[in-house]
Amino acid sequence: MSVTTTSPLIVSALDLRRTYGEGDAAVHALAGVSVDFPTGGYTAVMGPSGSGKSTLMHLLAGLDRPTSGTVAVDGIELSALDDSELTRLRRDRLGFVFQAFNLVPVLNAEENILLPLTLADREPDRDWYDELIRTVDLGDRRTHRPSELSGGQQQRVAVARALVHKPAVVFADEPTGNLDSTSSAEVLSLLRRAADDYGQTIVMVTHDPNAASYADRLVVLADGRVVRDEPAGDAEAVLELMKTV
Amino acid sequence: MNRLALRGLRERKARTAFTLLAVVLGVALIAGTFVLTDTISKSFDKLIATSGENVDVRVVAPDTGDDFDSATATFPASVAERVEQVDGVAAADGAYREGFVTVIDEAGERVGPTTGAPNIAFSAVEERFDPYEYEGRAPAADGEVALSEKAAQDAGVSVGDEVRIQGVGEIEPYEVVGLATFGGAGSVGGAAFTVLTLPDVQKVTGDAGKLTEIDVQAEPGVSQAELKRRVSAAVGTNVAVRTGEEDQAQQSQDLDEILSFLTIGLLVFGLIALLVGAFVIFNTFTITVAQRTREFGMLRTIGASRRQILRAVVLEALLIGAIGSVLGLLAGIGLAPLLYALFGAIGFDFPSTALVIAARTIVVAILLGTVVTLLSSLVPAIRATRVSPIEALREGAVGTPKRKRRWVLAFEAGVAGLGVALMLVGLFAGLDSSPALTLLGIGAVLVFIGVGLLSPLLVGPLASLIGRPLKATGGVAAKIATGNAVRTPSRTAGTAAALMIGIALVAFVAIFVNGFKASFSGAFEEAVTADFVVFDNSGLMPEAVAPAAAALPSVGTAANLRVGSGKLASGADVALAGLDPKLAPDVVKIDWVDGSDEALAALGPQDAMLKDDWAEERKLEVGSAFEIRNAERRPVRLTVRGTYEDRGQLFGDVVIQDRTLREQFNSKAVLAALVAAGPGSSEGEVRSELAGLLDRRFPTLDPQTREEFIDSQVGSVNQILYVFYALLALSVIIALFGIVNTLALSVYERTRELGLLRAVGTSRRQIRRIVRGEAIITAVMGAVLGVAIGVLFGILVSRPLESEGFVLALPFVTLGVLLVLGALAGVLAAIAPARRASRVDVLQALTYQ
Ligand SMILES: Nc1ncnc2c1ncn2[C@@H]1O[C@H](COP(=O)(O)OP(=O)(O)O)[C@@H](O)[C@H]1O
Ligand SMILES: [Mg+2]
Repeated sequence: MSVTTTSPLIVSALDLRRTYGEGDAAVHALAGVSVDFPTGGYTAVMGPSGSGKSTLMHLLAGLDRPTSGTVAVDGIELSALDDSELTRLRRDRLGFVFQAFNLVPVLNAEENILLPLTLADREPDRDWYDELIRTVDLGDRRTHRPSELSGGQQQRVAVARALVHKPAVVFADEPTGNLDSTSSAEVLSLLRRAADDYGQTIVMVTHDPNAASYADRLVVLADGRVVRDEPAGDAEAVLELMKTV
Repeated sequence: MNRLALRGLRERKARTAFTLLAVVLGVALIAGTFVLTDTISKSFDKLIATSGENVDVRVVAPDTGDDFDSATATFPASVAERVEQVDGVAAADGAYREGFVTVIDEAGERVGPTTGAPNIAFSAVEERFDPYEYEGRAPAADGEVALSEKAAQDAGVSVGDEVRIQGVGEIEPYEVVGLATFGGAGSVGGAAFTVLTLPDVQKVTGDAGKLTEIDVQAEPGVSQAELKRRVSAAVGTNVAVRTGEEDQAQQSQDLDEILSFLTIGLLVFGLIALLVGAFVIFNTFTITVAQRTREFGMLRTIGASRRQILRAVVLEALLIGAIGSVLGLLAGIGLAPLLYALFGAIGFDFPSTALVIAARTIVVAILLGTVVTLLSSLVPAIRATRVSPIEALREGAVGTPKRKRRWVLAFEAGVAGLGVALMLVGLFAGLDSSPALTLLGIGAVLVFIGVGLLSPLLVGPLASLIGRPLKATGGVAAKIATGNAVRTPSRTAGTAAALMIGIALVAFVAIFVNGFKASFSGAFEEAVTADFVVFDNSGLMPEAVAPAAAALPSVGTAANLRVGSGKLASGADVALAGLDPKLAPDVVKIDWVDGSDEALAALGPQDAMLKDDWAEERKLEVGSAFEIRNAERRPVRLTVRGTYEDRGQLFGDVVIQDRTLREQFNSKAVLAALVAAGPGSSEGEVRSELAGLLDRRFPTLDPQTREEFIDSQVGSVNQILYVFYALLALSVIIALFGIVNTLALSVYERTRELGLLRAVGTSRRQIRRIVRGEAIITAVMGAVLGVAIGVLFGILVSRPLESEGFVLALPFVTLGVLLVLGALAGVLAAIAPARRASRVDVLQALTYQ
């Protein structure tokens, strides 16, 4: 699948700036980033450490507010929302997968997956849930607590949770950062399947070229700016590309 | 390393503050108690000294100063004449002190305390001996009276007004000529006092020609000891002679004895508060040590020794203990005037001086607070030394619970078991009351500690039980709350245990008092068959009530129940009850063991009925003769005519003829008049006639039906109950701080998790609900355990009392209310931590490593 400009935009950022600190000590984590994400795309965001990847993701997801610039998700201007509206937006329209500490330790796998729906007091779509469970391939571990699951299993549960309420977009920040290669592959193909089979929009931050190769599109950041935005190649191509920035 | 400890304290200001509070409150109550009672004692000593300034020798009856409700010990007034003749006596004045009167204002209302505290009559003495100061003057002629200032003011009576005074005889009018204060106080410990001329006091107390004391002043150059020798020689052995110094020492000793009840009583509550504080401190340190595992591991990696780690933690505890104790001491000093004011507000005025802060107060308060804190932190501190360097590198949650070893569980169960065993020994081994109470107390503390240690096992089941109703309404928030509560069972259990102690004691007191009420009403209903009871809450009442009531057309029988006391040759007190043998069977129903109503009706002036176990203890049976001495030490010989059971403690140890008690034991007043309706007269008729009679002749008294009387007596016990509740509330408050502390530490520890929950769309309100849920589960768990232990204590303590007629009656409503209060306590404790949790910055939570 390639990027088509005719798809409606699900997330769009315009001239995003985020500055930490003031005066001489000011750090420009993002120094003017404009980037759009059309519906159904699977985008990898790469860049050296400190280049602003996480900051970008946080701004796109309404977890943080930009110093200047605007973000619109699903047609909604985020700066117009207050905290509880943002909370509701995250709960209903966004999905998250973080590098670690993704799950609530006192809830079992199934409860963790259903969390966004239970928080919203909504009934799960049974067919969709069954299909997710099958895809995530937890087998008999559905009622286990996170502490009884392997790292890969935990991340797969996190992915399932990010998908369960059919969000407009899933944000993943280094979802494989803590995993070995086998587990990484499982998680990445799960995300890939979500994009292919369900047309899920995914924005994934990573510094792993192999992970990026699962995506359709590659956005590269350096020093708080977009330096590349092109279709993602295979792992080697990504690696080569990264050497040039 | 030392700097590390200091930094730990400074960085967690809230935690340090709450831990400090756990020490401060307990220490404050202890220090405040000492300051209060020392101050009261000191001010009374000062009063005793100034009021006895000119008294070089005092002649008193031999058994003076024992108790209030028995007949006042007296001696003949003729003794005073002999004392006046003694060489070296400058002045001698006979006095009658500590009689009981009722003063009635023009509206027929009582002048003086309505709380049940007495109004004590004193005779006016020569000015040099007079302890009072007057606005107006002291009574100089019969028919004049000076009233204690507070009582007069409360009743709106002033100098020049007329009042009526009711003693053992008829009511008579008096003119108020002065308002008296004693050392600046308008009442003494809540009691009113009334100054009359000596003949008037003798008249109202029915003790014509009797004195209780003679104040004597020496001529210059005659020492107190010398005067005592001379007076003793003149008066013989039927009275006691003391020098002024001895008399003051005796008075202040008597006072300290009374005060010691207050001191011990309040100290017990202080120690309970400190015990609860110890749980809170232990818990806080356990949590922070667990949270700092990684830090300790890192320190160990870079070469810190176990000893250094131990020192850092212990130093932290030492600092908290020392600072908390000092603050507690200061708070206690601040608390004392408040307690003073509180006592004043409920009618217990004490003369006041500057607060007395004894060295003992400072040492005990600081030592106790510091040692308790240190001990409570010892186990966590040792645990900190066990942290191995690798833990610094280990991923994941810290302080994951380990399964307890079997021997550890056995030890914990042993502690609780030992506690119960000690309580049983204290209850059943027949020890004296103070070792028995001590064993009971230590046993109870061990039970608390043992159950506290074992309670992590109960966290799972209890939490899911308590969480069930929450889940029904609270959804996923409740589920997470329950999960959090169960996650570190020892933390939840420790926090709940602190609350458990206060609740257990509240439950116990409630059970005990309820049992007492039930026992009293049951026994009274059985033993008293009269339809009406006339009773004076402030003390004894005139004996003329019953004969007057008997003369009413609608009344069948009216009889006095007289009480008094005597002593056995051994010096042991005997509680006496006097009944009219002809009338008694109509108004009381005695539970005979060996005897009958016929035998009672035939009771002669030198006959007695004995309480069964009292008789058995002294190997007395029907037909045996024995002697009881009266207040003048004269033996009265009595023959046993029957034995009875007395579950309600209504008839004392020995029942004798009403007249015998009146005449031989000098009991001029009665406890109650029991009135039975005549055949064919209705309750309403009796009530209206009786009320009319009382209004006319005894305006402060009212008729009560048997049931009304029981209700009012039982009701008055509630006041005591509320005082206990108020004192225990302090422990509950400390436990609440403990819950706040634990929650705050948990919230801090789970910042990440809370951030994640917020990121995936949990609202602030839902976060608050999670924290509140955990608090409610913890608090209700404490309440459940507390109520269970309270019931256990209630059952244990009631066993030996059953033979005395105590029946166990569980106050289910109160116990239910306690559980609800537990839940509310949780809600309250959760407010601040929940707000904190809901404000967790999502980004910071997710990015901080
Ligand atoms: N809360 C913060 N305060 C100050 N500087 C920050 C903060 N968060 C990020 N930064 C800085 O902003 C820059 C971008 O950070 P980030 O977006 O986390 O980078 P990446 O995820 O690409 O490694 C870095 O230089 C980082 O030090
Ligand atoms: Mg990052």
